[in-house]
Amino acid sequence: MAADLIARLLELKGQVPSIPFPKDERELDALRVRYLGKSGVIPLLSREMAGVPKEQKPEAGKLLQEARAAVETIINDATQKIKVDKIQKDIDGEFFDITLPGAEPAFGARHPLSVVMDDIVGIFTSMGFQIEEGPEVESDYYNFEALNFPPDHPARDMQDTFHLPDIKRLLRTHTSPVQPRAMARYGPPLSVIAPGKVYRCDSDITHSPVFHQIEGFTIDRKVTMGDLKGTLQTFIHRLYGPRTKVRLRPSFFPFVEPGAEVDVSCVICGGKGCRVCKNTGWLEVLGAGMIHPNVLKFSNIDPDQWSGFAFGMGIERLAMRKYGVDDIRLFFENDMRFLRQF
Amino acid sequence: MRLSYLWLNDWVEHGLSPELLAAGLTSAGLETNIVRDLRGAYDNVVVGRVLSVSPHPDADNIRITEVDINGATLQIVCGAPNVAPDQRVAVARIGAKLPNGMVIEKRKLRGVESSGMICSEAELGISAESNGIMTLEPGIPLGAKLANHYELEDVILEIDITPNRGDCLSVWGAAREVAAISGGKLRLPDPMQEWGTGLENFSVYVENNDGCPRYTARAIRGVTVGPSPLKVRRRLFAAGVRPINNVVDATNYIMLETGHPLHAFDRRDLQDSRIIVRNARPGERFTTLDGKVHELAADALLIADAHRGVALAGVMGGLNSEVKPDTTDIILEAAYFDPVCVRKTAKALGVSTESSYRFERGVDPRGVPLASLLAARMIGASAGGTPDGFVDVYPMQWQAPAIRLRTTKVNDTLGLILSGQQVLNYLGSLGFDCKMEGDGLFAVTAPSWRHDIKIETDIIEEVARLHGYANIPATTPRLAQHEAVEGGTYRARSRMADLLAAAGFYETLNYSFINPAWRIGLGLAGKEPVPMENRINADLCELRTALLPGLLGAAALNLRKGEETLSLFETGTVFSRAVNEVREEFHCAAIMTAGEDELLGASIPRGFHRLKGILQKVIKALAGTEPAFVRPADAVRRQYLYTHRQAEIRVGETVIGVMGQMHPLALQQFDIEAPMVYFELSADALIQSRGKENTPMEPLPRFPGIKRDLALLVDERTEAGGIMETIIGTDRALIRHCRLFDLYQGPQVPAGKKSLAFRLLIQNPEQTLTDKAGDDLMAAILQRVGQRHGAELRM
Ligand SMILES: [Zn+2]
Repeated sequence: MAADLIARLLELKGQVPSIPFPKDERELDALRVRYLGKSGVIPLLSREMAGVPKEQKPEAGKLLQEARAAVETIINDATQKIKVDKIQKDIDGEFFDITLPGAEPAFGARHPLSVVMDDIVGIFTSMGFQIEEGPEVESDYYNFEALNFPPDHPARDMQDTFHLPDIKRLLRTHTSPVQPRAMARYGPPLSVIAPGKVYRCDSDITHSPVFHQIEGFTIDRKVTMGDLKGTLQTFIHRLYGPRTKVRLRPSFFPFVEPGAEVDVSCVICGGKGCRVCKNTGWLEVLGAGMIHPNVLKFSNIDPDQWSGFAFGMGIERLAMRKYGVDDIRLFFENDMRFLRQF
Repeated sequence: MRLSYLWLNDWVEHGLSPELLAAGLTSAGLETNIVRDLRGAYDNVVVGRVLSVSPHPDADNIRITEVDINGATLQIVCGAPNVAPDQRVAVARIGAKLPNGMVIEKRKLRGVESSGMICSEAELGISAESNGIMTLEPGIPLGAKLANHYELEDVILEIDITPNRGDCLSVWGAAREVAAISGGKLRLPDPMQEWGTGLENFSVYVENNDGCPRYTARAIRGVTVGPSPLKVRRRLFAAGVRPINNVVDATNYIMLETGHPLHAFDRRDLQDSRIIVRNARPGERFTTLDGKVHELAADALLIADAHRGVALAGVMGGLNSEVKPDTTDIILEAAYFDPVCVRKTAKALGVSTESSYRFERGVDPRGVPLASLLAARMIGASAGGTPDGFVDVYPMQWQAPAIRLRTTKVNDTLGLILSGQQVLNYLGSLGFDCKMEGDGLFAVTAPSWRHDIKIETDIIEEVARLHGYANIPATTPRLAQHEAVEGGTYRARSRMADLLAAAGFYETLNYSFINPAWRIGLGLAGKEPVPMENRINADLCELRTALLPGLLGAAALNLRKGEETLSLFETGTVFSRAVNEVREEFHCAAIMTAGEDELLGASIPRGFHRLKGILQKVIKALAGTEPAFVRPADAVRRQYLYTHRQAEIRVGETVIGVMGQMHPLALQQFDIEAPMVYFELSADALIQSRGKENTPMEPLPRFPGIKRDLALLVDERTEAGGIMETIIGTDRALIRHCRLFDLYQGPQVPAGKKSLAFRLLIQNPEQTLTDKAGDDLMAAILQRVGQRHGAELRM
């Protein structure tokens, strides 16, 4: 009788691995009833344990436990799998419309000129330039004279000026006055980036009476024109990407000498020629040069001891190209249909 | 400046195509573009002879011609009144595409077939206008290409000449640059030759030698005024100068060629046969040859005869002495006038001429007599005049200074390692005179036409230009920092703008100048405005003292265009006058439409509180502390805001700005009907209010707190802020938070009353709070709000 029980338990143990894995709730219930139900296989065998002789009880008990654990493992695994399958099935089966419009938070936006300005200031400050701002109402001295624009010189025609006759001041025509101001305030060595508003008496689709510039300069011992090229190259590669070509060609600004106009290979056509670059393959980006000795002298800096370079750029022109804006006045009209696009 | 490629080729052998020429000049600092290309433009234009002219059967003003083009006879219908048999004419054959864009096709004119066109000068791109067809000299072979016998297939370059390079405002000037960049040979005449002498029965006095360092006059007798030859007219047209007559054209031609402005007087009109170069007399009037009358300033330099002005020196001639069709004897002026003097005169009169433009930028003082000689020769050739004496008033010989040039300085500035010889070669090619004074040390004298060369650096630029900027190696410097530079408020302002954008506002940019009427209409007070001169828009004639007008303008524009809700802001400078200075301050302001908003369950015009909430957050983020909103004193109350819907914004003890709801009458001035709320604050004051020291963090509570709600009934005119302050003031140590979460006014509460519901977080940092302690605190609160505000518990 007892030997028979052990034999049947061994047989059950042998059967377990071949119990078919239940595929759904119904098969799972059937399995549970068959093995663990009141008159299931295991409870029935369990009841027979009473008649097993004492010395065989440990072996029989162990076999019974193992059989129960094996069956329970199957049932637990199956229960888990059926549950997971059901979740996945529901998910796989649903309809969901991702094309419904997104529920936007009420964000506004920065002005495109501010975005471009902040980007450029960010590049220069990370290169080591320090921000310095100057006043928008300037004296003739800082705006022109200290920058080597002699009185009654045709160079002044390049910048049509708004005057404040009551106080003998003017609205600065460029951010360059920050150069002599910073030189007077700090002295060399110095590396400054000066963003700000500037004013010229000019208004059409490419000129606004109010516009923005960024001026940068450095003064140190033995700064060379090669340093200017390298600095501008780094800047332009960060602004337009490392494959952009940079070209300097001689030009004239009274406060630099040698002076340069800086072109980049056209960001639209890559240099092949298009409408934006007027088929030249190049776009004018900024003006630059070595700080004119007269400018240093005006600020009591000895040009034989110190040298420096300076550069300046118009933000509107860069932003117009970046966003394909063809009328500068759009920047100052504040039409929401324009502002919302950025 | 417009430059004819063919004209240039008269003076320099360069071997460059127009394209390479433009590129070369551009990289040498003279930005050059091709603006007109006539190569191949005359491929189908040939010489013909008119065989016959007969009337058109159906039209009076056109005729039928037969034209022999050697080998073929074409029937051409022609509308020109001057067409006549036996003329040699320019014939555009079928297929020709003329410079003006006209394409010649076979067609019928009023039923008569026409196989080509007899061209006028205008159609050929030689003149701006023409009366009738162009007639050619006899003897030119029939059927020959027109372009083989006339200078036509030109390329016109536009050179952008910077103000320092006045020496390039001529064909010669361009030729010198081209020779330097190409190594080509210049063919300019020697400027030191025999100019002629003996001007008889005529005298020249220069009273103002500073304004006129050199004056020459040349007499030419027996000219016949008439049109200039075709070649001259074509070149003038190509350069953008209108041909007038052979005398005036010669002066213009030589000016364009050499850069020296010249002027021809009718000798009959120079009273007492003399020229006096003098300053204008007080109140003196003068009529320029364009017929305009000018009242002259005392520092205007005048060319006068014995009694009256005859030309404004270097600017324009006078109507009283110009060359006329019957002029026979002329006095030709060539001079060097002081640039500043000419500029002042031209500026004062508001004129700019080809002449003044060149004098202002400096002409070559040594080249003056040569220009005079060349013009005289040209007048002799085209108008038949004979020279009759010359006088040169030149008391102080021009001498360019010698400038010390160190090769080391060249290399230090440019980051190059050039030898002294390389530097010499570059300078030599530009006509500089260099003397070696030591090892790598030179004394350099610029040519007399280079007024821009004053110091060593100017010479270094010349070296750099010719060496080529492209050949300067790029290096990366270590940028020097200065510890005293603090960086100002740029970043903080940018952060404020970012925060406002995140809070739903769009950034705008408005002009810094406004119409004073806007300021006055809004009643913006407290800052004295700065007036300005505005030549673009005379109405916008003062600097803004606040950002409000600009924002209202932007809001009005958008509402007009159909926007229903708006949130706009601007960060920018405002200006005010302080004694003789201008005070500038960065402001930040925003404007927002304010609808009836549901908040806390109550319907209140609530844009105000929404804006207030945004400000609380933004200011906290920037200043580190929450702002206070305080009812302003009557004296500083803004009239453009609702009387009671306005508050001063304070951080600590400082008032940094104002906020409130826009007064409907203020909005009306900008045609705005929608209710709007607004704030404006000093960004500078806000940013400065942030302490240098960081506020240390508060430790997180270790013991749990309890939440209690408190609903109070109060008089409807009681301010919630006061009650809240009383609640918190009951025990600042225990009450961690007090938040108004419901506001109710309506049938559920007695008339004249409102219900305010607060949620409190009560927490003891030292220990767990007991219910009893909570109950005690609530009782204390209730008693205080009852005493101070007459509030009672809402059941
Ligand atoms: Zn392009």
